[in-house]
Amino acid sequence: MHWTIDQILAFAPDPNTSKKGQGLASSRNWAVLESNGRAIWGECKSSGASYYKTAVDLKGPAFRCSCPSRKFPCKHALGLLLLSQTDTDSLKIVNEVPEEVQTWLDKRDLKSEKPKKTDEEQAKADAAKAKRFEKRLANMKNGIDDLETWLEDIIRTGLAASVMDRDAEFSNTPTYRDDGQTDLWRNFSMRMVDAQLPGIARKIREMALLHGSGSEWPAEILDALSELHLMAQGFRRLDQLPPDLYLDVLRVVGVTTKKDSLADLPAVKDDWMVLGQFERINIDHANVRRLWMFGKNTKRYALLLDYDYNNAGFGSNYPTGRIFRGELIFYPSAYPLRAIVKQVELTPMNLTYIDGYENIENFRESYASALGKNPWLQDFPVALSNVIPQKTEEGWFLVDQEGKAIPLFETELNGWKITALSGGRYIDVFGEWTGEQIRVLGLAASGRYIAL
Amino acid sequence: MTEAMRDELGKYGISKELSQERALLSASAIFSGVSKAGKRPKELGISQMEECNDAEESACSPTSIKHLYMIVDGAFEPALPEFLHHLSLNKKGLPPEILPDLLEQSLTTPELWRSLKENIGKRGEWLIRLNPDWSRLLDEPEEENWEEVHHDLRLRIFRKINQENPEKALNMLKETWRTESMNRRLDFLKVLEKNVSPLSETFLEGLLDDRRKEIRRAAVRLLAKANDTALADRMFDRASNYVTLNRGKVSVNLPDRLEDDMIRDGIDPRVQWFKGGVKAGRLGQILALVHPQRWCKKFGMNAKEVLAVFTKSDWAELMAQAMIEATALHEDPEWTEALLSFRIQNTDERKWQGLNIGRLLEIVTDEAFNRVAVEGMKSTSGLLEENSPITTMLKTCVCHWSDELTVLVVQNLKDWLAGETSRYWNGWHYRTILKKAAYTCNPYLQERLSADWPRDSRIWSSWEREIEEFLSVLYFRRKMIDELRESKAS
Repeated sequence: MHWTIDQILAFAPDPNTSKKGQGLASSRNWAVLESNGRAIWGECKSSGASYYKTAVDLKGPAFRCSCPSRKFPCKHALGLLLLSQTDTDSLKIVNEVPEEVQTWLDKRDLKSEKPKKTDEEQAKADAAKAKRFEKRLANMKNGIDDLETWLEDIIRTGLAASVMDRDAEFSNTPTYRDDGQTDLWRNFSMRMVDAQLPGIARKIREMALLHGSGSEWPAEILDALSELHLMAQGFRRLDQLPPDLYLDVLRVVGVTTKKDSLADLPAVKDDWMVLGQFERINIDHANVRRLWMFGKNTKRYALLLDYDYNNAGFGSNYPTGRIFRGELIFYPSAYPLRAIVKQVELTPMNLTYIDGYENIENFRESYASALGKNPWLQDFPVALSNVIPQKTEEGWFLVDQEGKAIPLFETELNGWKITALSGGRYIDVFGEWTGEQIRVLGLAASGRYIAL
Repeated sequence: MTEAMRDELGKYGISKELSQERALLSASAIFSGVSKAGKRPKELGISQMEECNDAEESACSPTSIKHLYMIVDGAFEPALPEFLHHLSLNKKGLPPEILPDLLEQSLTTPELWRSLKENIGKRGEWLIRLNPDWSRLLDEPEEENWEEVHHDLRLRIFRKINQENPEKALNMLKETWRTESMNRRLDFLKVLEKNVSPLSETFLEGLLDDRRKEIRRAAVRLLAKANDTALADRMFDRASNYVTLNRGKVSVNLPDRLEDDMIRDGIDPRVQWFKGGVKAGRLGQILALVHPQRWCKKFGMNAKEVLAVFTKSDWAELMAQAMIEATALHEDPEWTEALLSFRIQNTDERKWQGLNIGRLLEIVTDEAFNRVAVEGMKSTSGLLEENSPITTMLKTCVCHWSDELTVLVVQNLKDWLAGETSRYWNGWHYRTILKKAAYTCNPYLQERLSADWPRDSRIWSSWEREIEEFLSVLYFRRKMIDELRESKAS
């Protein structure tokens, strides 16, 4: 497989690693440089007396290095891959693979072939799991009872008074903490954690930040309270819901679906175009990345959600504008979007166009239909063809060829970037619809696809 | 909640049995869902935006775009002017998405705008016209309005006219002089410094009697800088009375008292800027205003020779310091090189530490800088001292390094690393020099510079990072330039 320098550098977790990787892409830094066609490996001199053992599985690619860096891939792995593509003469082709590299490659091959449990073991494990879940369900039901009472209390006392009221039991002023959250919100969110409803707990912590921020906060809080009410009502009717919506409700309240449990579900094979990604710090101080792919043939959107705790970097990098061939597995849902990668390989193809809605009205109808299937949908993927940015006194908009417009969720500078790329011509954009605005993550203009 | 409201909510499936609060929450949830699903797009009408007619222009290659992103994202930030220079040289265009960032930065960084404006293309010009904040970057100052516009724009108009027609600029200034505040007057006089004309002599002479000291001082500098003015002649005559050459030796006398005409010409009797006390200060002020080439002409020597006799006098430090001031004022290249060379060769810091060469480093040419620095490196054995003049030159000057200088500096570091055993010396100045060299030397030396580092040195591990960084910057710059030269546009 051949990659260009650009394609390789796109795997770098940050510009610093990219820069350092380029510095190591020279044979003088490497004591050993070998390949067997499937993988490349080498020994890079460390700052001490030792050597770091680095390997790249060209199938993927996948990276491995003995250095202590928490960046992934590290500068050594990146440098090795760069070197293998730019200075092939320095690479010695061998048949014999070092033991640790072979073991790693074997493990990667065997990863999807997990040893299967016997029927008896499986039945036992399933029963234990069901028992644990039953216990959790009971705990969650108690928590939902408390949530409903709490919501009623807030509505009864009024939004402005809600913060004051609970604290007034102990003092005449609400207690604000360093993070801006009052004890009322914090205490109830902790109650929801105890009730094993972390999704609801997170929502309440987010609501606390809305309180008093901007002139629209009462409407925003009422909206969030309604959402919590809808979650509670959904949970109350769990038994009556279709299986996919049942799982959606559980996920919304905070029951996680383990990635391993998806392994047996059917995978969707396609050429997956990476349309855009968005990173943000969530309320739990974790770096969250939402990465959107679109299947060229299946015309399906897929959302890969990744978390980076302690700046260790995300597991894999899928550069925007590139196309990966392979299989994704979707989480079961009434409107399936979230997926995990079963296996993909980078293709040499670049994205140059987007298959989008012809006009804003068509998108609106699709969104309404999706909400009808899953009312808890959060950010919704939207690709629009033939739109143009426009600045008004109310902010930035994307306008279609019929003159209909939707607001852009953009900073002033990003609005100008989109305008610069459009050159006054209609363009195709991809973004996330937040329910109110579109956050543009990528666009196609002049035969290029540009990540924003 | 009234019965009528209950009935109304009932139409949406909200049971009357529910408590008032739950009914409200249910209603709110329905309203929220319907608002989201049924949100109507705004009607803005068909876009009337003018299309940018830049079909024949194309951006640089995808790899160059990647390089540019690495620069603006901070990994190789100092390489931006070089990138823009080669972009323009190879007639390539900037990718449109980068323009807003660079235009925004240009509002506060005029140097960036100077190198950017050649590269913005039709797309950039089109974009600037759409944004009133940026449009002032392209605004051509209109002199008709110069009395009515903002002071910054007035200065731009004045600067432009002064470059093209100094007489006209002077007349404009004379007309409004009485109505300007002191700070604005000083701003205009500063503009005149860039192209001071003999025509302004009468006007500037008049300012010598201004009641504000700052104005008088600015007028003196301008009259001295013009060189063929009466003040410049008066100043040289005075200086010649105090500095005389007899049989190859300079004799220096200090002024005991100042006449009124000297004070009118801007000599401050109490100033102690120069080493040696108040009297030395008076002579220093006089010498600092005299064009240094006048001494060459008077003595029939070149700058090096004059400097040699000056610095052998009893007032060597005063003379050298005054010559630096005079050279910086008159921006004389021969004297700049002579003074830098002198400073490099004279490293007795107890004697010469007052000689600040910083202002000369702002005006030295690339060629002179390299000649002097090579001379300095060749006469240095072992470690470059942290506060030595050659270190200061290498650390602060923005000139491009010649290959000879680069190799000498890098070899000096290699030699020092190979012999050094102490891990405790921090060597910060070498790190700063390497960072400076990375962006000022020829990147095509990368392979040559990569060889023969003493990796077995006991202190190699403390230096490996900086050296790798230095080499990776060279590698990046080389790739960047190659790509701009060779690639096809996207």
